Amino acid sequence: MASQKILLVEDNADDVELTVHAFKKAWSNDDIIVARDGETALDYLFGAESCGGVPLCPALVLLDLNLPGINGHEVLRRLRERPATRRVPVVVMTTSDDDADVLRSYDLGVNSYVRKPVEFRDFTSLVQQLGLYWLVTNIRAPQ
Amino acid sequence: MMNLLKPILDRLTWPLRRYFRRAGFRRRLITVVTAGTVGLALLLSLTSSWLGSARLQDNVQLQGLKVAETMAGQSKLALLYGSPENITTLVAVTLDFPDVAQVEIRDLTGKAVVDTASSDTSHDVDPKAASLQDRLRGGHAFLDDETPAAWSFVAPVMQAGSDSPFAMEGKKAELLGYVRIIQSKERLLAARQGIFAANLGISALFTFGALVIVRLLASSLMKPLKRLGDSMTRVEAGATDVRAELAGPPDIAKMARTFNGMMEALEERQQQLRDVNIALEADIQARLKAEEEVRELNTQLENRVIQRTAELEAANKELSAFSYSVSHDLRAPLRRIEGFARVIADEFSSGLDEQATHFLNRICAGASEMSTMIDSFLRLSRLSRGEMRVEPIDLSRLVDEIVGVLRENADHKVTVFIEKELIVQGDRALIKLAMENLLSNAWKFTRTTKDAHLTFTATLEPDRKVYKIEDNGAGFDMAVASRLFTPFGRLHRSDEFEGTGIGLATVQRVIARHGGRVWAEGRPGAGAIFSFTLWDGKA
Repeated sequence: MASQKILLVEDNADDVELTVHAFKKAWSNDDIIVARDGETALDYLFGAESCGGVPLCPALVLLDLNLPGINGHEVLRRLRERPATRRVPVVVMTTSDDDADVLRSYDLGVNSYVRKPVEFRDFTSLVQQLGLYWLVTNIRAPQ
Repeated sequence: MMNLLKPILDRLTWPLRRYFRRAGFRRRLITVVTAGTVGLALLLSLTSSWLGSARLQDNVQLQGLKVAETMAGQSKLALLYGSPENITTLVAVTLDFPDVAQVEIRDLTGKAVVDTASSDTSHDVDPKAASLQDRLRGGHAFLDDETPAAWSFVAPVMQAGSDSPFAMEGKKAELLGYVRIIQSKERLLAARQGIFAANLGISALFTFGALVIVRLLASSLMKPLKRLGDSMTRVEAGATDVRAELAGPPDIAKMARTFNGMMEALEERQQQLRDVNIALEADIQARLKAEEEVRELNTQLENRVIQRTAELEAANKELSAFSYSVSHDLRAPLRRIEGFARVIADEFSSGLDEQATHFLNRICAGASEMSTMIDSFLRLSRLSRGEMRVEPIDLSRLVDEIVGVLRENADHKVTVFIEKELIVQGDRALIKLAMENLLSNAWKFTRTTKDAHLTFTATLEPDRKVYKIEDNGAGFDMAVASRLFTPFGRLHRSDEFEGTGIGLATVQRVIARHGGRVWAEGRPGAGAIFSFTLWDGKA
């Protein structure tokens, strides 16, 4: 568990804080990498120079759709294009449950789609579930 | 008898009738007049010649008788003395008479004293002598015999009785013998033929003359008729403005006048027709123009409809986008409010007194409520848009299913009665949503009721069908019923009965989309009846 990194793609500082807090509460895990926009996320995943040159292989990518610059769907599309990042588990975690957003996400190859609940308690519970499933239960593609 | 005769007559007269049928008026006229004239002339000539020849015959006969008598009167001596010498002159004279062919003087025995036909009279005896005796004694001449060629007149020769006043007794006339005169008919016959021929000749002449006259007359008589006929032919050929001359006999002139009148009327009619035609043409043009205008108008309207539809779609899209952004944009800060408040309340409670924690909890509750509102609002707005798929729905079964689910999740018992086989037309998803709302409401508000029960029925009113969900729950005051169906309008405190108050607004939207109405009746503490119609009560 400790070695498993989670890439959180979220632009709002408050949302980041709450999410990190929830993860800490649920898993005592602070190995969360935060990307504040789509480009940064891709830099991390592709191993751009600005991010240390080494591609990040997170155990899970939590992707918000509302991002400045390139939006979440575009990020998803790009990282699914590359063989290196095609198999990384991506869960869209966003406030919207609009049909169009859900459909497009699945069309682009997302692994799961969850809606961020308003109540923090519910959010914590969700985070727990996600961690349990994606980091423990789910078998990842071999590297 | 006539039945037998008729066909024979028809057969015989057929050529005549055929000729007649084909003949024109003029020819018929001429034929009839000619035939009449000829017939009449023939008849007259025949009659006159017959009469004439009869008269002639009588005369000649009379003459013959007279000659015989005269001869007889002069033949006394010859018979008394049996000597023809006395009488030769007389005989010769008599022979000279026209037509007298033979003279005989015979005695009572029939022996001839004179017979111009034989040369030797010694053996000339008339065998008929005896048979003539009686008639001879009549004292007058008579016709003894007749052949086609001649008559035989016989006259008695009488010895006159004494007619001297001095005789003692009248001496009776004594028959001595008789005289025979053979009179030939030759001349008579010739005369007869002559008469007949003359008559015939005159008739023929007359007929010819009549023919000519008739022909001339006919032509001149026919002229006006012919001219009228020509006028008609010209009209038939297509000439216009044809009028007949008012000439000839009055009745023909009348025909001509009538013809003219007819032509006038015809031309007038034609003119009228022409006028009507022109009017109709104009009318048609006007109609076509009107149709054209209508078509244009239609096109315009269609364009406008297309435009409006496009605008509507655009508006809908805008609304959709708006609702979307509203829902998600609003939710994000809400999360933060709730989240931070929760974290403080849960993790920093040691530094907080009760009131602070309480307030924080209220913050979270407020945020939560707002979140629910946003969701309801989104769902509600989505209800007014989107396509409806109308199909038959078994309402009874649907209600039963929903009740089943409610039963599983509820903690209190409710007796339910559902009228069977209530089928309606509607969108399954929307109807389900509406029913869920209504039923969960009824369930919710019967939570505190003892012996809670719920019924779903349909009533057939005179002009519509009404569906009712009735419960014996908390009910409501009719005075505030107007707020029931407004979004977020609630009639109970939230700690009494939860709910955002959006459920009934949802129901109303759904029912409205199905062309129906929904309304509620209730009494505080005595339950409520929610009624609705679909498709204006017709279904």
